Amino acid sequence: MEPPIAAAPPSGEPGFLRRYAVAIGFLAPAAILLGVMIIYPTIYTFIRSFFGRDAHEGFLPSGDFSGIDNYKALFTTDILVTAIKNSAIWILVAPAAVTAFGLIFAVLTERIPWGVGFKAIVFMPMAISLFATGVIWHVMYIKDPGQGAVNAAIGAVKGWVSPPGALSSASASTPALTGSPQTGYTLHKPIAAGGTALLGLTAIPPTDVPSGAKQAATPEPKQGAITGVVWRDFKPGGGTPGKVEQQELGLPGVKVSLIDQSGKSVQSASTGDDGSFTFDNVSGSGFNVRIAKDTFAAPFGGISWLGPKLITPAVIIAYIWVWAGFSMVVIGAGLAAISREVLEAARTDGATEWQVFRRVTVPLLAPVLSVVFITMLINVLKVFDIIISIAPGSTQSDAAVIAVQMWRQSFGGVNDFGLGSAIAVFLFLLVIPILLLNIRRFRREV
Amino acid sequence: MVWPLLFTKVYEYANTVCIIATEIKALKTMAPLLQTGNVAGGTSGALQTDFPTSVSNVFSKKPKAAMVIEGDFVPGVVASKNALKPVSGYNVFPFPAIGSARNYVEGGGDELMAFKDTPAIRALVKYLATGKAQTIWAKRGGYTAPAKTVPASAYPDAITRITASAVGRAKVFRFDLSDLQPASFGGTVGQGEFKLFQDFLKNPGNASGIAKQLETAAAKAYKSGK
Repeated sequence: MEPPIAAAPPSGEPGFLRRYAVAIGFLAPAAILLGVMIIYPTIYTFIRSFFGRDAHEGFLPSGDFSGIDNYKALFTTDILVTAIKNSAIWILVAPAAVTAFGLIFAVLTERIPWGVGFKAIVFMPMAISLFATGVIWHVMYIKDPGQGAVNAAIGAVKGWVSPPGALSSASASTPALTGSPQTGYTLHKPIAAGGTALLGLTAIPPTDVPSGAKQAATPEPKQGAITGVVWRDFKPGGGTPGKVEQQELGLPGVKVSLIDQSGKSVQSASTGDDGSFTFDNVSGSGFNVRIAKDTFAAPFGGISWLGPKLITPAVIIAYIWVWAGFSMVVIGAGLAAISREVLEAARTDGATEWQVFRRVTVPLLAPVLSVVFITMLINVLKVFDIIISIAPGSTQSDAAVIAVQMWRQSFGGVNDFGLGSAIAVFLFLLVIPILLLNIRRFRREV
Repeated sequence: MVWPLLFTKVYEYANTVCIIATEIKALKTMAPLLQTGNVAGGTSGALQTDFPTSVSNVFSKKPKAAMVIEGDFVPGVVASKNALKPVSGYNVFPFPAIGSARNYVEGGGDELMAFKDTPAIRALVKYLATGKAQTIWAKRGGYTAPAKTVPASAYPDAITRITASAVGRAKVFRFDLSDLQPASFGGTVGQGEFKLFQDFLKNPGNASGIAKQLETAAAKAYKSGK
């Protein structure tokens, strides 16, 4: 392109165009896309946030002007305030936790022989989508220890520490037995030696009957002994309460004790597979048989991870599981760039490993740590799909953050684009400081 | 001038109190059913059970529950989970009548909307409302025809026949409450009616508190037209 021979015209316009025609030609497609897909919608959203639900969506919104009503609603509606609170928790906890875990993993895996394998395993969650992560963790967090892996692990530890009872709950099938699962059951009328004790229990779900239970055996009276049976006094169709019938199962593993007239326990036994037990060497009368209350220790019901109190920590844990790998890899690269001599010098000077870590490694890693931290901060403000996929319907509003509510108020049922736009503008204002920080950092590097 | 205004205010207040009183009565009637021992997973587990799981809880090989309140699309789900046959393997019964109401069916459905008024559209809508057209769809199952002229034999199985005849016999048919409410009250997960009924399941003793919150949320939703 030949520069103009004459002096530049006063307005400078033709010269400018001719000079920069090529540049403009190359930039135009990107500039048009940027303008149409980002700048125009941003301005439109900003204007839309001042209108109500029924505004007409033209080139610019019109009608149903509502001023700052949407912004007022943002800070007064219960669920939106909860979303803001949850966002604050996410911002304070998640980036710091991800960076910390990444740092720990990177430092620890540097020296160990199978470090590469460990790094690969920790990094693997990054390969799946956040929504798939959500589905996996939703299933793991299920409250029922029979289904949710997390509660199964906790239940196993708990069961090892304090074993559950044979049954979880039961009621007496006839008035011949009195008591409750909290106090244990005893016979209403005492019996004498040579007598039989029928301890029928009902209200036991079929899955609660201990495995190995067999058909209940009617006890035979025995001289000088007290025999009895503890059984599930119910058969399909009902049957007669108080009588041992066909298809009624005995309850094995129940602890029964023989109580004498003074209320002291003189013998104890455990029921067999058919629910029967025998107390030998018994003489006299006025004996009672008791089913101990610790038979009814309820099994571990499971922690409610997906309930309103724990849902946000639960989702944050899943999020850290995904991103710790990214953080570890980036920090690991930064760690590899630190010259070994500096660390050796510090060690020769007598510093302990912890002091080397704190005073030498971390300060040298500071730029890498800040990159990871700021990336995670921006990520956390956008978090959306992992929350929607982990939280069940009943705790969606307890788990929601600003980005989730922005979607829900606009597209998720309410169809209030004015309120959704206001939430979007609020989120934009929150992100601006971090963007400016990032831009400043890039400028400094250049 | 003051008296009519005062009367209106008192009337509105009395109306609100009466409405809340009936809501409290309805909630208190449901409360004894909604105890932890009665629902699969207890009340907190039930709150975390999603909609498809609640149906498969009844019909999987190791069922967790004996019955579920659901629409007539369930036979398809049952068929995919096990080999139970209608009536002999599983069955339906109508939700118990409340008070003295009889032949009262509550359900969901699709409404046919015409956005233009042309003779062709009128003719199509008229045809779709006839028994002949609806029989075609009824034969495919999972659908209860509103037209009374659809024969019972058109339905593919006994369960669908039972539910369809209940609709045919009904004196009153109502869409369910969430379909009749504005979206932000009745149709959005995590807020409005959705959330408040779930809160009620968490705490069935709080009928009056929940009723008041329902009224507040509904008033807000109706006022803003959403």
